[in-house]
Amino acid sequence: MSQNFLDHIKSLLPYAEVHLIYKNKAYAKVPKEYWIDSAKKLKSAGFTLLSFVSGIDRLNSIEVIYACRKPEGNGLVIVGTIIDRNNPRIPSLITVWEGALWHERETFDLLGIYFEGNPDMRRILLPDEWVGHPLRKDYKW
Amino acid sequence: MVIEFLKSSPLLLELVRAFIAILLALVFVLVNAIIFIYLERKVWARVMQRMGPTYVGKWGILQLIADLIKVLGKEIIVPAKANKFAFLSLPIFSTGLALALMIVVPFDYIVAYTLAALEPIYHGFVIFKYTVVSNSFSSGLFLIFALLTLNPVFILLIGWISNNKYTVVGGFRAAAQLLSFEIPLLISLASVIILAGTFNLYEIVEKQSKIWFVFLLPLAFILFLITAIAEAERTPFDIPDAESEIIAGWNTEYSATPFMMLIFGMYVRAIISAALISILFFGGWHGPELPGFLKPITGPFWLSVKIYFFMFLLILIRSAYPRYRIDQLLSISWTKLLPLSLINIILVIFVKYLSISYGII
Amino acid sequence: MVNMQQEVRTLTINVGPQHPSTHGPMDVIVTIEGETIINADIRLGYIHRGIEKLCETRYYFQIPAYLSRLCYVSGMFWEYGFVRAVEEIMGVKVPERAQWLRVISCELTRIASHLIWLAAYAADLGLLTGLSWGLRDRDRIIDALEMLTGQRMMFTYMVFGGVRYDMPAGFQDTVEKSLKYVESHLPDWEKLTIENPIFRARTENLVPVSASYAIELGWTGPMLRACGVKRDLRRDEPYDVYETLDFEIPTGKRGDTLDRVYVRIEEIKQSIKIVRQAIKRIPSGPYQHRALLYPPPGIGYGYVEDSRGECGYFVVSDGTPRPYRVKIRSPAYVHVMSLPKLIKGIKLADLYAVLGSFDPCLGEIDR
Repeated sequence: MSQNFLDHIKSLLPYAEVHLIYKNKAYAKVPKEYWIDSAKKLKSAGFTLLSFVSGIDRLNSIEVIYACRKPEGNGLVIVGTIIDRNNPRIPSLITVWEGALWHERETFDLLGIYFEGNPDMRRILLPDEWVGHPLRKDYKW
Repeated sequence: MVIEFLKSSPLLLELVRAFIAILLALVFVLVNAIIFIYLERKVWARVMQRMGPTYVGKWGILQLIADLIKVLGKEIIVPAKANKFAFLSLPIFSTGLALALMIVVPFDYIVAYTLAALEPIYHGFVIFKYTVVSNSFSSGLFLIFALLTLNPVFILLIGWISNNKYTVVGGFRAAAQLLSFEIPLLISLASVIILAGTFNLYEIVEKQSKIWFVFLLPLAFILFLITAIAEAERTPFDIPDAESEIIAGWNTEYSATPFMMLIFGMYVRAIISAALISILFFGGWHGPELPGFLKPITGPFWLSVKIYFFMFLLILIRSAYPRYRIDQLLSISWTKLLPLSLINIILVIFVKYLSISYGII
Repeated sequence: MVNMQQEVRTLTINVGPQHPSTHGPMDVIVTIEGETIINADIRLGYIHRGIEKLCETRYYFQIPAYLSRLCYVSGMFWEYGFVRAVEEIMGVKVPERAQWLRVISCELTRIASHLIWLAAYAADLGLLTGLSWGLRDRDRIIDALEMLTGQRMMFTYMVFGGVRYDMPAGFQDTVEKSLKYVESHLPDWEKLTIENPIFRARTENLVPVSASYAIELGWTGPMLRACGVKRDLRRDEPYDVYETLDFEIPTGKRGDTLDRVYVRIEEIKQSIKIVRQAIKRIPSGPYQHRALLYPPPGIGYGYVEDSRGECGYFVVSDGTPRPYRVKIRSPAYVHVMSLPKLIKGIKLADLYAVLGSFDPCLGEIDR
């Protein structure tokens, strides 16, 4: 069952390193160029529900992640890609999922990742005049 | 000596009596407004399965007095951008308007007849000899129309003068609601006038000595009940001062005494609605005669009972229904109530012809 | 302010941050023309406490206490999601009795959360009687939870590898009494809300959302089920002992505001059913498994079917006693995101009817 799921994801995303987190939860690391492509492929394969978009500060790089799952049945895929920490830019997922709007705003607010193509790149949880991005590891408070 | 002087001039005596009658009716209605607010808090609390006020006095009877003293002691806050004179004077006009309605509605009937029943006690004090003022308005219902129509103007002005976005929205809502509900209100009242053949509230009541108008004009009663609730701005038509939508609407900026006056005015309007329903459709003071020494106050007793019944109904309606939306309300008014009230006007002609030929009015 | 000289036809109103109907400090900036909303924007963050950052600075066992503050009406789910994520990395097997206790406490919390939502939503529509009724019924459920956890709001009941306390003696009777009390009032609730003609007039066909659009927006929980999608994490991706329990998933037909009310009232009934089964079938045994203090390096995603939708925690562990990154997936955040799109063209009074039906809990939206 879990192995089938893993194979399914591997065949969907041939360019990705995929491993299982837990049963029916997979983590796929894709190159930056395939970021949008992976989203489109997963969506057409039935993973139509975008769970969240976020990021992890890896100190010398930043990892952007999104998670999507099947609205009917079982299965969750978390897709991550590594981008440059000093100029963190990535194409926006809003072309694939309309619901990515605020997830990307939040990621921009807290981690400073700029999503190209998102029409509303403002801070959301912090005040507009805030300096810095608190979820980065070198943020001083 | 004063009494001697008054006795020498019948006109002056009559004026003093009229003044006392109005004053007593005023006090009567104000006391009733307090009882109404207390009743609403208590009954509504029971519907909600709460206790309501319990601490001040027995069963919390004195709670409203305590609230009154508290509110009077508060600071009157005038918004910086508001016109101070207009802001403070408009509640006086608005409340005065509601109180002016009271003179026309025969509340003083209750006071006067109760006083008459008490005559053995104050025997000899000639100025207390009862006078009823409200029966002298030969066009009483017409005056009520006129005063009701003035009300939206004041509410709109209050909303505008407070210089706050919520009050402006509330003022416009009030104007739209009250203006559109006045037409079905007036037309449903017109059917009563046609049937009774008079504008005088006293004569309308006397016409109902055989049969109450509610049995002759059930449609008019329903229309009047709905429009009267809307005119009193009570749930489900409390759209202009919706707390959960536009934060009390047109009276958002008011505090302390002016606020209390506005609220009092609204409750007085609710009492007047209840009184008008019982006078126009439920035979006013007509009812079975009371036994024994209570016989002289039969009329006041039944009128009070009817008014309190409709107050109770208003409270129950408030506790059971949410609020309509303004456009739904307007569409109800224009597409349902107005055609129905016009149909009602046609019906009343037949009703009048039949009831005259059967001799029941 | 209103300036007549410039012939201003629109009016911009700040609904919030202090407003009785936003269910918390949230600012909805609406532009209205007459009563019709022509534009809307939302400003958040008034109670942003930085819980995600806070989690990175605390030991694992300290964190659930912070997380139950995320949503003050359904705190149980929020600590539970995190505990599940960490247990996944640890690979801990939770004792069976603990799983049943988790089901009982979570379903009780769901009933309490839906009841307080009903209370607040009724008040939004001007039905203040409902406010009092909701608090009255919820209080009995909270009494039962207090008996189990010792707390009325911030439970901190879940620990890694089980639950903090075992079921006290006489708990079954208290729960049954509470459930009976709530159940006896449900017909009244239906009369007051979904059968009330004015309530229906206010909510029926208000902002209907199709199933596909709801999925596109990322909706979960009762909001998605009201749109007609039979999706429930308890059944689709079962955790704990939900597989063995017998319950139905209520769905709406039109996806409008009335359906959201209907679905939540039905869910209360289903939760009552689940708690009754669980109370009967709970096995004896240990209620806690002595787990490690912190997990090995790895990532985990713990999800729970919250009273609002999918509550998820994405936890990255680097083998230290503190988590490297905790991402909180809040369902209400996703729902509120779609509000500006949905309310264009409706009346101002409907803004509160729609916003209230989303069940916004600002604690979890702002985090």
